[in-house]
Amino acid sequence: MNLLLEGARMAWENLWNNKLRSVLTLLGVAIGIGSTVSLLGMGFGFKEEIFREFESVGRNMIMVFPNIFMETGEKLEPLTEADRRSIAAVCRDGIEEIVPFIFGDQAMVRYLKEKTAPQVTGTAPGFLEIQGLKLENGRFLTEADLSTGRKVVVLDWRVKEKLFGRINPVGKMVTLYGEKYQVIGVIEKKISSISFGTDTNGMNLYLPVTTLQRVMKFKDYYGLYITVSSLAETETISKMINGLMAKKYGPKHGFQVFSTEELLKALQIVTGVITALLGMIGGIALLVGGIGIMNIMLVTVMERINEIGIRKAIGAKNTNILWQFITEAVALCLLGGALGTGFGFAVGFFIKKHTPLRLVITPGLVGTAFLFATGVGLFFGAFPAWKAAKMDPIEALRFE
Amino acid sequence: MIRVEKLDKIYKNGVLEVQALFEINLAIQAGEFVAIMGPSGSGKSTLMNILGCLDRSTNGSYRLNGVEVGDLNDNELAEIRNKEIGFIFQTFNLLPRSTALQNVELPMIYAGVRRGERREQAMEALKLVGLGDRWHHRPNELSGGQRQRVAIARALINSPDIVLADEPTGNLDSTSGREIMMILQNLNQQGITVILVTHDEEIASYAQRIVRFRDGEIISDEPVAERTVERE
Repeated sequence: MNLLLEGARMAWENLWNNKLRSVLTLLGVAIGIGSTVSLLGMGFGFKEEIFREFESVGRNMIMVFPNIFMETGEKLEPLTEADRRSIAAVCRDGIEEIVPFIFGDQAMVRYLKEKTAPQVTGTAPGFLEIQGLKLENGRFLTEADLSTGRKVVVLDWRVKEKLFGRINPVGKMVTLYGEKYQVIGVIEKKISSISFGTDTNGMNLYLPVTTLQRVMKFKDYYGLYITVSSLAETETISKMINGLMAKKYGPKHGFQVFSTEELLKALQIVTGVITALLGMIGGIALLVGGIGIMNIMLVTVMERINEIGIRKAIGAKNTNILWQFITEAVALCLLGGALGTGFGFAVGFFIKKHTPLRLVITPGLVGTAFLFATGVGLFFGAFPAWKAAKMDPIEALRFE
Repeated sequence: MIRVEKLDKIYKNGVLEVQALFEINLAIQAGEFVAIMGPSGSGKSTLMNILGCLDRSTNGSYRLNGVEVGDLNDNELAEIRNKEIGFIFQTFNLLPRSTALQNVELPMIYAGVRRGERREQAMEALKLVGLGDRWHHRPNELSGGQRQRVAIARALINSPDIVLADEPTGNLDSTSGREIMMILQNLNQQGITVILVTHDEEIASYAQRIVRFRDGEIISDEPVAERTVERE
């Protein structure tokens, strides 16, 4: 233990005596560790973001969308009211709610002199929960709005801000598609980077699906959101719906039926791959830093051949010399690791402040980084240290 | 104390073989002060390295305090160098970036002495060689004579039985040289065996016995007729 401590002290003295060189060398490791920490942190952050998003939506959801990746020449089929009914009938037990939606043509919505062009979606009650959205004010669409095709709209916070500013819009009349609509509710801001069907960074306006069908002269649906009573049933129900669609439109039907659970699994694989790739890039930077350590340690050993001879002559064992140089390499790497982790935190803070991305730097990640730094020091310091330890004392003493 | 029998040393450099020592026989008793003399290339430094356990013989036997050195491994040799032998070199061989105190402490680090005790003993040793007030100086801030005295303090710090001095005055002026020789004589009087390698007759006359080398062989081994004794 005493010798370990002495080794560390000697290592520190030597590093201190060669300040500039030490700093430049450990910078290499610092950049390696720093980029590994921040890149992996970014990967973890992305993964966590996706999980959070799914938690807010609920995992037991199935989406039926027209296949946008269809080969050319195939006809894009709309979902009919009959489809909706047969899905509801076949899967009656497991399904909680079916929320259909269609999109309206791009149009201006006006209030007095203010105007804007949001995405217009016609939908039904339950949409809010499925999207994980909350009301800031008023109410959302009801069955009564749908059955009578009422001319009412729900705005999201961006549209509301644009048209009304600080005024409470509930009860006010807006103009859309040349008709007057009454505002019944406002949806509050949601911070999110992914979504299902709605553009969270854009502007959205919602009205009863029946009302929009009339305006668009369109009697079918673009797609359905289906909530299932339990997670266990999503897979069976998703298969049943697929079967239903195949029966009606043929096996190569133009619909995508998938559950959030499946989507989550797919995304997990994707984010896992992304994280691994990011980690690999960091790893390459770390490798370069490690080679820098080895290089400088070889130089240090060559410069100190005489010192090695002196130490051996007065009683240093080969292991003492080995340990001395390995300690130096590891100390360099640990200092680099500390600096790099600091870098990583700084980058994380910067990214959090200036972009929607988030960095997740866990104690585990920091611990791994330090473990890696030590490993790099051991690995790349071993050969130079071994060279030093193996030197013949007389030749080392005579070396000028 | 030291018994060398039929000792050969052959250096191999590729296919070239150079024999530096031919069947050397030599015995040195505890407490002796022996000078080894000879022109350069005569094998005196080679023998010195073998006696100091820095190198191994090719053939023959070297027994140190009854132990056959040829049978020891590298670690055991390092331990002997650390505890039983003190080296003094012509070029001092101090660590240039360490202070006088740190240099003197170094053998104790490898002997596993604790820091506090180390400090104290090293300080004491520096005082004994008259450098108590110079402990914080680095070698380049000291004169040649002072540097050699630091080296002597370092050689003595683990209380060795033997001091090996390889041309200890070679890089010094005559005044400093005399001071160093006086210290060595004092050490010898305290019972330490001193083996001195030199090619300077005057320096050799400080010893009790002179062993002369030529071409890897001992050509004479006799007591010093008129011994120089330095007084304080």
